[in-house]
Amino acid sequence: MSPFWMIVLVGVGTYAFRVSMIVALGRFELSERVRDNLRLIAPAVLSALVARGMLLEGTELRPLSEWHVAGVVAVIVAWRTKSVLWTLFVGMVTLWIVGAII
Amino acid sequence: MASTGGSEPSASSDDRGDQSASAQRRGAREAAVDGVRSITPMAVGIIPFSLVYGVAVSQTPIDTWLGLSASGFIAAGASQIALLEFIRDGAAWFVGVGAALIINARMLLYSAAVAPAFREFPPAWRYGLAYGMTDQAVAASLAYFDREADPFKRRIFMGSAATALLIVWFTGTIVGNIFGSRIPDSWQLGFAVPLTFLGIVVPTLTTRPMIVSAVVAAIVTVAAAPIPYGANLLVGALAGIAAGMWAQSQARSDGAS
Repeated sequence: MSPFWMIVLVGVGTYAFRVSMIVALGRFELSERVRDNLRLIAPAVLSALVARGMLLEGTELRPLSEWHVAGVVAVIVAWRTKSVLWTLFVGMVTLWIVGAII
Repeated sequence: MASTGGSEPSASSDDRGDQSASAQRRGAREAAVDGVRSITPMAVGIIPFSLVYGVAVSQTPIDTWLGLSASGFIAAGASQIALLEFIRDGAAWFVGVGAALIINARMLLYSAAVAPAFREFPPAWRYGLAYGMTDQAVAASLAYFDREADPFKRRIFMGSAATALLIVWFTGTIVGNIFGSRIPDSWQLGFAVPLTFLGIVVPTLTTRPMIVSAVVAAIVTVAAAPIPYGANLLVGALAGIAAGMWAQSQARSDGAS
């Protein structure tokens, strides 16, 4: 199969994922319990993305480094400031400083 | 009554409608500005990632415009990079397509997460906004939906946030491709994307079930790392959701007793 069709296929499949539950759940009246459960999705997926991005390198555990230090600092900053911008700024600066020291 | 500043001199009977129209315009502008503002740090975070994709296109033996147009067809960076790698390695088509779709299966979960809010949107908005469903746009929008109940403002917010993010993503891939930009490894910009996810998720962890959900998801994602094609992410996320549901049912039975 040509790269073009592979890209189109992934595009169609991805869009199908994106609309699937919007269409499926759009038909039903959702109970409070279901809504509560749906609210767990974002923290779970985002936390999984953070874990993969920060703690893993491919399929391997990332060796202890400035990434871990900056990650812990970022959690504190995110919690205290509730600001993505501050988290990004302080996290990157911590990464660079700690990386330069160790 | 104060003038609404409309260009048409309105008859008195139209006055109320005219005012609510201008209130709506103001609301729309606020929501649009809010959307762009909320997505900005995350859009900054994906710039290095978008440059990496642009460079990957230039290193893959496919037509440059086809490689870049994948951002339009797919609009999900991690899967695009994975797909390019499979094309470059000459893997069987179903392996590349399958791996990319596994990476994007989290969109099913996002689709379910936004579904309650999307019920209130007109169909054209539902299907249009679904296209702009990226990690960043969904994260920012769900946080906004928690503090804003108006469906009109909600869709304007998500539309502007998603559009702004995709513009940055598209532009970055083109810039990366043209300048073959080699960012020094020492900048470690790969840290930026998970960092922005951390920034948006941590403040939302205010209830016990949400904390359980996030912590279990992280632990299982790491423990499941050997599972290939990035499927560990999906396993981790599902485990986190299941654990969160368990914690929620515990909290309910505690409350009932």
